[in-house]
Amino acid sequence: MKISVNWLKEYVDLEGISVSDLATRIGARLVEVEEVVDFGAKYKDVLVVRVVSAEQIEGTHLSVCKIDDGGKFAGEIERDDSGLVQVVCGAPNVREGLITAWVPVGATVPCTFGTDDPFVLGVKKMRGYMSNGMLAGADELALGDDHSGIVELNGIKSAVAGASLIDVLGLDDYILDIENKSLTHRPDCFGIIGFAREVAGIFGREFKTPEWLYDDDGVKCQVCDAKVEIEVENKAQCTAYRAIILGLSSNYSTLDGKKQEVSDEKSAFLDEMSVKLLKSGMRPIEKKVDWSNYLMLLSGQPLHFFDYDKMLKVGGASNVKIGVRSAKNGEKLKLLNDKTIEMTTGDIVICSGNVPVALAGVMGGKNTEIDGSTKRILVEAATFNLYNLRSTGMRYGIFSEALTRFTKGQPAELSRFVLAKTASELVDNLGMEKLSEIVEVAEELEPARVEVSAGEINEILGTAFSYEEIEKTLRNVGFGVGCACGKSGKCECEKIVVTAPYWRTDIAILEDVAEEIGRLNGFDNIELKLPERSAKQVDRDEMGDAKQKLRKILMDSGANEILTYSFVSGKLLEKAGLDVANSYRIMNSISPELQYCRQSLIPSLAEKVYLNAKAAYNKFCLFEINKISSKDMGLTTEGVPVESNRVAVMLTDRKNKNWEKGEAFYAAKRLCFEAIRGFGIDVDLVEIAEIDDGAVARSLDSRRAVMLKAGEEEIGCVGELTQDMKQKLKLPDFVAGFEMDVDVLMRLPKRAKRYGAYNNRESIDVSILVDEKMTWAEIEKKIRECFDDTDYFYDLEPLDIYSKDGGKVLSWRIVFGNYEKTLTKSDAQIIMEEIAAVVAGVGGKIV
Amino acid sequence: MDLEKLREELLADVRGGAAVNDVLKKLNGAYAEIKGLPVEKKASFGQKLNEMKQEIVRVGAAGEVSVSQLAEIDKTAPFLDANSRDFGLRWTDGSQHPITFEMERMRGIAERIGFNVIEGRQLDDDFHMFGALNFPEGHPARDSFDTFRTEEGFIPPAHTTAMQNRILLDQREKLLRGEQIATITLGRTFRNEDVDVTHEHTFYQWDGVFVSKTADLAQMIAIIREFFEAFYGEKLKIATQPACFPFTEPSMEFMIEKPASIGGKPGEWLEMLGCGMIHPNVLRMAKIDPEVYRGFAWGGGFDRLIMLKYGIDDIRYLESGKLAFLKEFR
Repeated sequence: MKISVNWLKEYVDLEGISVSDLATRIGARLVEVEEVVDFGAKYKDVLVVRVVSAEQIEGTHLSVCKIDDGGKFAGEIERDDSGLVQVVCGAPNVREGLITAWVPVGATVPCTFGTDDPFVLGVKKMRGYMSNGMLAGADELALGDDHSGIVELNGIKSAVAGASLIDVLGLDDYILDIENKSLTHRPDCFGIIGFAREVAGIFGREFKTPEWLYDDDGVKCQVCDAKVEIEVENKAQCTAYRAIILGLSSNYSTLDGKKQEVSDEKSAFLDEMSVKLLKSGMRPIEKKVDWSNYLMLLSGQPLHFFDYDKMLKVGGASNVKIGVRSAKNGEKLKLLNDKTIEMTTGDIVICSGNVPVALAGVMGGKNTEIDGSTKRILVEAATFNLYNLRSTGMRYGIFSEALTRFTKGQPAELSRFVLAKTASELVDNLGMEKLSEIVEVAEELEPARVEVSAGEINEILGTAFSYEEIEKTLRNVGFGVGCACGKSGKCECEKIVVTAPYWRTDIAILEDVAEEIGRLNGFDNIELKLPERSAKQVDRDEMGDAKQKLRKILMDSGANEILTYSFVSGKLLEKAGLDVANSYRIMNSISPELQYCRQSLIPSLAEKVYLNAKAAYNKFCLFEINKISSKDMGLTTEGVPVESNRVAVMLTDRKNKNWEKGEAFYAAKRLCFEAIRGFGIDVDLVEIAEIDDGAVARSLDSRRAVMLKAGEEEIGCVGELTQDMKQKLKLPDFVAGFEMDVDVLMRLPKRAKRYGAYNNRESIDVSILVDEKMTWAEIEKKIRECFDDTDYFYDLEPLDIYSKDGGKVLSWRIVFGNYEKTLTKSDAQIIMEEIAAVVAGVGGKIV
Repeated sequence: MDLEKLREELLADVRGGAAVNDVLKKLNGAYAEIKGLPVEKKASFGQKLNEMKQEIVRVGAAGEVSVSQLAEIDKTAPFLDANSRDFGLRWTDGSQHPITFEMERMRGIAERIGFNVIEGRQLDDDFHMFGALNFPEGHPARDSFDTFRTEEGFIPPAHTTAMQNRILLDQREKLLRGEQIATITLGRTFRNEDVDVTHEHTFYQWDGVFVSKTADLAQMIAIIREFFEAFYGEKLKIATQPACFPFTEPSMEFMIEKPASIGGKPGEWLEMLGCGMIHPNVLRMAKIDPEVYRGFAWGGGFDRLIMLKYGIDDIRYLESGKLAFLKEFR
């Protein structure tokens, strides 16, 4: 919304307040000002000139003109003996005696001002004649769409040669560009008067709401010969529908002969009202329409004009019967923009008889459009359900200044006063006549009353406003303030009653009143004070701690943390061997790439491995800690999907040829155990049962992957991706990873950490030659058996694996000790002998 | 030249374990023949060669060979051999994502100020997204969030405020014990928005909730300032701007003057978040009596804080997963 500062000044005294202070305070206390535009800047060089002579260049549409700028142009320019400047002009209306606008040499053509490509005028030779600057049309001046000729300023008194266009048209103004979104609850502020009232409020200046906004003094018809009836089908869709019929006096006997005066000023290029429309971002079109737009900008109440006689014809009755109802499905209406729409029941439609004549609040119908032959008009001022209008506007892609205002929920009372004002302005200024009184179907609404005390307001704001300050603040923006006992103003009662003016539809509860007091006096003026707290410790974020611990371990291992989207494509799910139907599907996804909620982090990581491998990173490790969900995980007690916190890792080493021997698997497993170690839990490795072990297992090759379990709890899986997935995602051969459930890691019982009596222990290295078929775990189990019935604490550290004599050698470093007694070499000897004995039982021998 | 025969020969080589590059070299001869072909045959011959080349690369690189021949390994072993005990990355290679790094910092700040921290959900429902937050049914404000929806009607939350009702319900016991509710939510949020330099459909927010018997607006502004000053490590100038949200009354936007530490100049204001006193209806939805308790809440973008701090000029980097980006944060 664009607000002209000069227009504001007609309603509120801004003496001594700079435009930047104005914008700053509006920003702090009412609404965000997106931009302050110096409206006059683009016109600062434009001068009013008189065309002294204009001679057509033969064979062209161009004329050589001598213009009089009153000698005001100060720049260097060639003038003739009489001081006139030569300009070549192609406009058909250029003629001797014309008063018009001249954009001089060195000035920017206003319609290109501030654009990326400003057009700066110079001296140019045209058809052998020198031309200095240009005589400008409305479009070139950015003052309208008209490009049929140059502007004609003859009707305007102050338009004399040498005057500044800014002064003549009142273009010296600043425009506040308002962020509509944060003002949606304030329909009153979508009119200049309402906005001015707020500005007065936030500067503590006096404001008087114009009388016509609360007192219409009765609207009497002058020639009462036209009738209209109104029927509203559903009051929830239309809380007020008001209409009045006006006639063009040329067809009706006038009472005072005003009609003759009207056309005299027509030659004036832009009158004051048109300039206001332009500053507000609207185009002057035709006087009646301009008036309706002007009054809408002023009051916030949109208006619509129907051709009354067309309404009669369409309705087919002797009187116009207006119906306001829901459209029928498939019902057709040709709109003013010549488009025919098929309506739905969500649309509200205005009918004459039962024939649609307008899409309520959005656009009129072609069948009742006013045009040059219109003799009588029916003016509509109404309040429609804003939700209906909003969706109707979106449905047909129609957005307008009127709809912007309708969808804020204009108060039902407003339309009466604005309709009365419209009628009187059209009568006074365009010589029209009232042919009817105001006819209406409208709800009577009680003003909102809120009982508050100063204490309550101050408790919410943390302030110390007195009753006097509260009353003054509220009264200034139109609230009524009375004592709870019914007397005016504050008396002995603790509470006051605040009565909202009809235009404040947003006031209902104590907090609303508190907001008014805080806002109008400036939230930024409130003295800040931190709350007091007890020394009680805050609840620990254990999940956050666990995740950060994992991050630390993985980062220290050289892994890089990534974040990938929670949504993936159906294709990726399929490539990862997952059941697409098990993923929650996004109905309104942005693209097929983001259609499903992910069941596992592994596929997302795999995609990023591909991306980075392609970018010539050979060896790296990526990890992500994030949430997943899938339908088979069920719903929580709240009825929302269960989410699982996951940590997933994927590493690759493109140039490493040892993937076939399982090196990728081992690397991922080691990293996985590093991560688990941070949680102090014991895990078992379990073979993956091909299909049934969940989303993570499905992405992994069971020959190269294992599941991690602690008792019955599944922690996750570690291993190489399936060959199929590697192929489909174009991954390097050497790629493996893991995914674990952080919730499970957290809830598993932790191994108590115990000090290992470092000065009272022995360390022995043992290498055992076993058959190729034996596994590391089998042998390690045997070694552990040797400690089963002892009092030793012990730890096994893997040292080596190598082939020898057709078998393989597995080596450990065994550190063991006892809390009670000092170990000797012979204790180590005994253990070694026991180990030799147990491994011999499975065909192994110590080497 | 019999291309079909050549194809079979070369594929057999690849399946037999020959290096793909060596096999492809054998195609060079065939490519050389194109020159001598009649014009009308050149295109189809070349196309066939290209198809063959792709097939060889696919079979070779993707390991069609290996599927059946995958060597058996001892999955219980800790490593392949002593030479491969270490994958070979150093801690200096590792990095934390800037979002989680800063969220960790925010977690620390929150706990020091006296707020506990939770993480937001990534799939929620209409009630928590809107209903519990005083959005009337069919209210246009719901549309402005541009939420995604699943077939079941679940919503990937468009603001972390979706956690507010849970926080209030979970901790209302504290109020009855005379304590305060003070919680920060950090989380991932989603909006159906076209992606560009400054817009992402997936982004991050932080959200604060505070309820006590004496909470007021003066405390709210003071505490939000405290958070920002801790986050940027310097004293800040702040300002507010009236706003309108269904779940707070009064409501406002909170602004800071861009901190000098990230290149700010006086007069350069940044809108950081929306805030306000919790609407009585929102408290009632969580069985908290608004006649006895009052609260305030705030919520705003988190990515933005990070982009400002590090000078990240394109929001799309954050979710790109590119090492080139990630390694900047080592």
